[in-house]
Amino acid sequence: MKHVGRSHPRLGDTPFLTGKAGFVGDIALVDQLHMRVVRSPIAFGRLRGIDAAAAFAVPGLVAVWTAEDVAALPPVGFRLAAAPTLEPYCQPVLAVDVVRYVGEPVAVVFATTATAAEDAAELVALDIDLLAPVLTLTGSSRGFEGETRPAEAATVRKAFGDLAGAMARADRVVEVSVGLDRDGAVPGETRGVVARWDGGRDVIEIWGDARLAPANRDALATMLGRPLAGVEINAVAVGGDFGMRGELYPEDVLVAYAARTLERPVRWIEDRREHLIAADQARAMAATAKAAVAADGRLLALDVEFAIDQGAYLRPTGTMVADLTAAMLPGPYRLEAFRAVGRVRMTNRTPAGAYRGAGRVEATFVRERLMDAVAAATGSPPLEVRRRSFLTPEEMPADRHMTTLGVPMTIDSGRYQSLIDQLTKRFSLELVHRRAIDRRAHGELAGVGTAVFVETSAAGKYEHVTLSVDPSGNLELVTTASELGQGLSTLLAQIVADIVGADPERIRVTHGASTRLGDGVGTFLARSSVMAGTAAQYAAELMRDKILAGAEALLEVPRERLTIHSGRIREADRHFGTALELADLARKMLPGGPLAGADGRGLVTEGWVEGEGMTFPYGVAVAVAEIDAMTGLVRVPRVFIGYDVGNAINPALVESQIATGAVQGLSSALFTSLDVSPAGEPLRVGLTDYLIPSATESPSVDVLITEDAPSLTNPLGMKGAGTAGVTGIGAAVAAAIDEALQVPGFTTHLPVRPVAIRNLLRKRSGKSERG
Amino acid sequence: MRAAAFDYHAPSSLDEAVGLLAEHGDDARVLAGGQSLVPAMNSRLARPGHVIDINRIAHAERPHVSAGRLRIPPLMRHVDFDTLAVDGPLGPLMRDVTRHISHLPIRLRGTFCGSVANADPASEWCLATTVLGAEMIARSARRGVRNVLAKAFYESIMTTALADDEMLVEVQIPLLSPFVRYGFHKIARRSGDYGLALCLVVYERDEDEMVKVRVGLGGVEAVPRRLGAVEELLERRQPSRRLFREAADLAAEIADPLVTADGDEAYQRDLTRAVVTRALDRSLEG
Repeated sequence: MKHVGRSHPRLGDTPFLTGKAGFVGDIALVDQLHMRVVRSPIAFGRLRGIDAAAAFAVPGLVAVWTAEDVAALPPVGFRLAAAPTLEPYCQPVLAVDVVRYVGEPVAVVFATTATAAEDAAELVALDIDLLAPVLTLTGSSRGFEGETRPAEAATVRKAFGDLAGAMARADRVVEVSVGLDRDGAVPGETRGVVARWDGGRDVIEIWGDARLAPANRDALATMLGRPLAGVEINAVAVGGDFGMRGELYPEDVLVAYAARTLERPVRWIEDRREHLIAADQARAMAATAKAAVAADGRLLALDVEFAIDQGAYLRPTGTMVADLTAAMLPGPYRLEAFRAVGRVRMTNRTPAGAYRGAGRVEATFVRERLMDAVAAATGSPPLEVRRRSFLTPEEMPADRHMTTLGVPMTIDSGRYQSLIDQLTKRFSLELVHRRAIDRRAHGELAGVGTAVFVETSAAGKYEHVTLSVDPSGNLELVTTASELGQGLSTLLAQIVADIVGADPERIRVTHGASTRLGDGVGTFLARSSVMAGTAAQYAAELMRDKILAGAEALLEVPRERLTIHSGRIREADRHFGTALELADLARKMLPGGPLAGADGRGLVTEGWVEGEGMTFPYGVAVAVAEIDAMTGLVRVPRVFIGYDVGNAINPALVESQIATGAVQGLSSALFTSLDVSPAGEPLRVGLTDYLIPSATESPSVDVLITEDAPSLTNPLGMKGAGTAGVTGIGAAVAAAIDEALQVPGFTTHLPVRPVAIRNLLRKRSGKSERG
Repeated sequence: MRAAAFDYHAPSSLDEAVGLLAEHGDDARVLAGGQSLVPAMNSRLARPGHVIDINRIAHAERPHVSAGRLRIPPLMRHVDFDTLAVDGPLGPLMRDVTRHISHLPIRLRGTFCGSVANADPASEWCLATTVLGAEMIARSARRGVRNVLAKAFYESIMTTALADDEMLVEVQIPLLSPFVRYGFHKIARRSGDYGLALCLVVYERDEDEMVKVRVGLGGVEAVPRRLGAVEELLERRQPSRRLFREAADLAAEIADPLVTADGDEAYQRDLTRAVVTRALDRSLEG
């Protein structure tokens, strides 16, 4: 039976369902210390002094560290999108002289119990001279007095074609100013890390999120002045990552350094308040976008200026979000000319990092709001405006004449109009539109909005896996890519199963395994199914060859006449009997033995893949919105998403990625934002203020997966799907709200505030609105 | 997220509990369901030196009716109202209201008297007790028992008339006439959230007219309040959509809203109009 393409049930879920999975909070080591971070309560100020004397009265206190105690540690560096000019914006592991956001680590306390650590941390007194914080993108660099760094850390510029010429030839130029508020991933499980120095081996062992274990191991080893072999990161189960977790944080460095310095295991588990003020945030941006439109309604050019609210420091992803935002702005449209200027602006807010859909969510919101404005300006239906300007299948692969993250951007494949047509037919979207029109005719505020988006995936270097068969016939695939709940293990097992001829249940996928593999890159930008999947494919092909070669020698039957099925090798033209069990073969092919194969290693193979450019999956998001006129509250009862994934190895996994992403996107569109007071104090510090939608508020999500445009960058034609659900929702919901209100261009910012809707309705109908 | 150190007391009688309160005064907090107190302590917003856990008081009373009043003891959980048997409309009313309180796990532990004593402006029970003319029975070791009417009980946000040494030992709610109709509505961002606005309307039908009209607003102002002017407008009138809109407009006009992170004054008035309209509309259903 073929496994690829089937919705095989997820492998490895049993431990989660039976409470056996081990999260970082489950780890308790003998003699461990608990770390508590003393965080700045001030958004911007000069740090005059720290008085920890009172803390030492707390029983169980072992140490209090400030910047002086960690002077040997360099600031947290870059993993992606680095440049020497960016170094002044790196975050010191503990604040030096200046505090730049509420939540910034200023000191750390180590104690024998978590409660003692918290008690002691409260008693560390900070003497801070207040400076005027910069909290929004609207202010210029004025007001940043007392700061030595320019407020604009970097400027990303991308362009092609003759912009001035296109603008001059345009029949009209349509402009929008739009923006997104700050939000974050806010997973179910907060951050945490445990470390121990094994003095016998001189290794710092770390337990925590291993999404980027190889990169973080290398960075930590460098920061701590140790050989790479002196740091080990062990994967544990994680309750949600979404790009927020896994990147190296000051806390990770402090825990590792303390474990070595204090020679006791150190544990740090973040609480929810800390998480909401100190973990990476994302999304905040403002943009002004212009479209040059020809007389026939086609797009000629896009000209976009945007600014990203980076917060107080750059994170290991450097300027990646700005870079991707700029690169993804053209989306699926044919353009003669394009220009994007992206400003990475520093503020006195929590540092911003990557969050599921980084750069694509931002770019899609700007571009698709602009496309709706073009539709309104030209009096054309929104989908018609888009159709006129789609790149056609004949234009693929389409060179975008620019690079992103250092890689030339060539859209590998895409059939955009076809996906819209299929989605429309599959879910009778004509009827959905007609129903909204009918409801409006009856006085209700209901609307439908559509956004088209291009995604990117599979960025980054290379990936490496090993595959082996043990003497009992079980297979193990080892990868540094991470299982974060997305189902990677299942998907890799399916790929290997088909090629080798084994049952997926007999294939164990050991993920996040930087302690087993020296190299590998990790999981980000929806890359793992493509990169690790292709590496697994190569390893499995080599394994099949080895198995057949061994069987040929043992059975004295030419390999062309042998097949492998469910771990049994038999002659292809015989319907009965097993010639050889895989387990028997594995025992006979042990390394060093007579049948150990040409390389003498037995049934062990490796798969290695190097980045062959990015893939560009694409999708359509359609949202239905209904507005309660009396309260301005918006409900999104239904969402439809069409997505082309090139090759759906496991359609159910793709669907669940899309459905969960859609709910996350809806959250940022309607419910969640990480607001601060005028003094920069976070207002959303618990899950009673930060309103994650529950099942009741979540829409029903209908998903159509197509495989019409396989990627040209990998043999299986795969494209990533990890961020597909989240990317288009905001723009689609915004369009649906505009239609419900019958005010094109009303929704310029997300999340949509009920107050803003009420202000409009109140103005529109005089004093008393009837509902 | 760990509470600051405190002394834990588990009295086995009410006498003992109020004795501890007398001893520790404002440094003590009574722990009933703990659904507000424990999170507040864990985030160290509340730091009582003494916690008096009343859950071990063995002869915790059952709710009962006497002298025309429903008498609600200190440990009655929100969820207990789901199965409360009381003559007349009070039982169904309390059942409707309790189902709007948060989520089941919280209703299983949180208590009625705890919510009343906590005095959150958006508490369903604070609104209900205000509208239904409840009497709060406060007890202290030194001064014994006293009764406080709901409208005198809620003083401001999270502040009641209870003295530091007093414990809320019972709430009494007068039973409702069989001719009573009621409507409750709550506007919230998510199901189970504290309401942005709440309204409870109670009146009797006399022929085609509404009499003894009571309209209470919660969540919008610092304390739940009956809107006398709105009640007067509706008294002895026949219910109609048009009248209800007029009443809701008046409510929106006379409300004295708190301004929150999520809404300015105009928006709070909008919410008031919406919630009063819908509670009134609901009173005609069923």
